[in-house]
Amino acid sequence: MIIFQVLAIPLLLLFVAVELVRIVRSNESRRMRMVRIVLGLAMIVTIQSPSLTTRVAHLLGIGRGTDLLLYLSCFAFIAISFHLYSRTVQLERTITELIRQDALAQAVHGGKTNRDETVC
Amino acid sequence: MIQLTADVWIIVPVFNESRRIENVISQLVATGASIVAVDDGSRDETHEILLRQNVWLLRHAVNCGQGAALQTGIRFALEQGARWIVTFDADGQHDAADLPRLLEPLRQGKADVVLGSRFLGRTVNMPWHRGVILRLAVLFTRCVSWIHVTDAHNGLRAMTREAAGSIRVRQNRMAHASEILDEIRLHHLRYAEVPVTIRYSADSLRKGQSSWNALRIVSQFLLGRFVP
Repeated sequence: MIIFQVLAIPLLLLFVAVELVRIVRSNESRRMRMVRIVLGLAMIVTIQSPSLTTRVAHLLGIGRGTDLLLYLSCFAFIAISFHLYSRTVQLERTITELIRQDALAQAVHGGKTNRDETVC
Repeated sequence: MIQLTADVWIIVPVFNESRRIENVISQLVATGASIVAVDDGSRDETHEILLRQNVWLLRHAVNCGQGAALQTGIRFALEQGARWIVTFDADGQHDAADLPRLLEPLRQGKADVVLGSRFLGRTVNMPWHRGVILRLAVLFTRCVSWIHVTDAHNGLRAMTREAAGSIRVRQNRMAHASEILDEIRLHHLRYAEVPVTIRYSADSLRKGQSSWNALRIVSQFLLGRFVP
């Protein structure tokens, strides 16, 4: 076992264990925790057995295992970027709705507030 | 002199328009329609100027974008019992004289939404490159939104109360124009285009969208479609 494996695998196992405990204790964001657990386990397998990625790469017609990981990382980057963009847009919509409610409540006509008006 | 009824509500989204807003609002007030100005977090004297006008004024605490301001104004007008809703830009490019023509198909029951088209009408001082970008936008809209229009990003529109209630603007920024066309198709609303006049000035071009911004609008619109 090389030094990197000795350092990385226990940390990843700890990470997976923590996620497993959290998934049992909490119902929130279960899907993202599952994704993280699968990724953690995949990292453990690839670090423990580097030749496995090469064999999988060959099955897909890719020359090296590192190339396969690079391509997968690119896909993951795009997916994560869209996820974060999506969250930002949703947050922006929430903020907009708050601002809108405030604007509707503070409407004025000719300098007078809605409450001052008797006729629209 | 244009005369409209008070059940016509004109929504004017405004952002940092202290130089032009008074002229725009005064020509709209003279029509007799109900006016809603939505100050989208202006940082100049726009708000103070609007407070002196005989219009409804709503203020976004921070700048959210023209799409967000339109949706705020539309919701307010619907709450106040608007029968017809018109959207009108604050930069002085639109002409109040086009409003009766815009409302006619609605009053006749021939359409739920009426869109102003500068390419059916006329433009004054439009730079050639803006014309090219706008025509590309029309092509894009026809391909992506499957709606046959001659002008895709014209802020001068009119709609019935029912149509305004079903159209939901979720694109805060400039992509809302494409989103409204999407919503028209999605809700099977009847639409019509009428010729309108758009006047460009050095001032409005300086403040308006740059041609390069079109790419950002396209990406916002396309990505926004996939955001739940």
